[in-house]
Amino acid sequence: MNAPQGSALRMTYREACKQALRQALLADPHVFLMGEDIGRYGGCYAVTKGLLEEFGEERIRDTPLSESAFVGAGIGAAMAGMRPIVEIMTVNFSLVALDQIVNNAATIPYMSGGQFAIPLVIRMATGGGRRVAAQHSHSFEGWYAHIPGLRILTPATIEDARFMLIGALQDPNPVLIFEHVMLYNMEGDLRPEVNEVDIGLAKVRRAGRDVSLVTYGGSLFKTLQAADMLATEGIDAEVVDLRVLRPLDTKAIFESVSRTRRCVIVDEGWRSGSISAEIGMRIAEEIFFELDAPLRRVCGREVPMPYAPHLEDACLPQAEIIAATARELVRPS
Amino acid sequence: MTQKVNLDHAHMRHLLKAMIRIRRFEAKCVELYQARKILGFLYLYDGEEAVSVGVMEALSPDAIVATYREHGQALAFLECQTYRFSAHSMFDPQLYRSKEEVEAWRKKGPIVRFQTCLGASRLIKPEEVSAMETEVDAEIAAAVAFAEAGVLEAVSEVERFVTMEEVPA
Repeated sequence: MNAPQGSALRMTYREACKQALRQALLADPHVFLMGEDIGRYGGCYAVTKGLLEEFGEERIRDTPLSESAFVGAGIGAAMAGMRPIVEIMTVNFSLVALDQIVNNAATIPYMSGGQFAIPLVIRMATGGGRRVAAQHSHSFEGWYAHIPGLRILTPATIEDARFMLIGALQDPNPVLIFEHVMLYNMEGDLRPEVNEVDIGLAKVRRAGRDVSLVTYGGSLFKTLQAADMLATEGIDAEVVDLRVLRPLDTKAIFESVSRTRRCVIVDEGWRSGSISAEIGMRIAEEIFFELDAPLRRVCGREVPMPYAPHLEDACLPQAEIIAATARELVRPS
Repeated sequence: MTQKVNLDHAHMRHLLKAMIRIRRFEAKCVELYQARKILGFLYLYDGEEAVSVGVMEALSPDAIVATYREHGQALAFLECQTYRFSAHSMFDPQLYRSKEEVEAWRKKGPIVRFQTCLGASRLIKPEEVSAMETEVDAEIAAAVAFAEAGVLEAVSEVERFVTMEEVPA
């Protein structure tokens, strides 16, 4: 925010998340943070470090270890006019609060006939790669994208980590923000002229003509790497970053796939019943005759995430397999 | 528990050795974690060994299911107020307590207290304790050597146990 005019500001994804929270806390006295170890400890991924000292205990609230209780409290606070931002340590722990998120946050506006809005933001870490095994490594954002009433954001870039929160807080509905654990240490530049982003549209992160690689979150950078590998072989891949899993920006997906006529969907989540299945089916329903090749997916292997590094790596989408899948579509062997 | 427990020499040695084994096993885990041979999370239990050793005494050998947070422990309906010397996990900088507080509690740890009590009552000799430590260190060294000599599980086996073929006997 205090960047010298005209120069890019370099920061980590973690810092971008924190600056977003600071901006929100400074801008609106109704905004407050709740979660496990977010205050004195500074957050399990250190996103909220220093915010307690700056904003005090009333606004940076350490909660007991009960996801159901503090998500429920967030829903109540949002109904009563506050703008709570709840942090859940990791997506696996959000399952403890599934009842509150699905049965309350996502339904109360509808069941009250529009008498209540739930302007609640829930942030959580998602994804694998940190060797923390089968209870801390999964990607359930696709599940949440199944729920009417929720908006699902998956910021992958520094810019989205920095600015998506502003849009989320302006949404009168519950918004879930999924931050991939492998992105927190990633560094990138914020362009000084950008101070907001939309929370509705997919973005083409790399333009190409031969095949559309559709992905989001932590898989974006592996997919861009795969596109670089393909470029050396003369295959021009387009990379579409979904950014928002619900509501899906199908227009952007259809536009890209209609041009390239081939599509690989890359999703760290399990294949069966996944967001990648939904995307593939929408393409099949709406633009089937634009396709020159079958739809393909690269997904997480359908196992509880193994702990050993070589097994975990084998269970996650990697650049090599993404490139191989795309290559097979463009140049069938 | 109304029954009076009779602590004979062999039983006391057994309890003390079990606590020493846990303590020294965990110290080895820290070493291996720092050498990046153990990855992810590591939650230590030092200072609380008396709980697991006591509970284990009350359980039959086939009643135990342990996860990554229980290094030779099991659960029961007991409230044991304890003090853990190490941080919650290896990522925890312990901003919530002082070094002096931890040091004060270390002096009241279960191993040092039990050992001191046994020594004062002349129920155990210092050389017995050092022999125990040597034995435990050898056990741990053998366990580490076994692990180091292990072969990585094949990627082709990664789906094993996602679902079971049958109920184990």
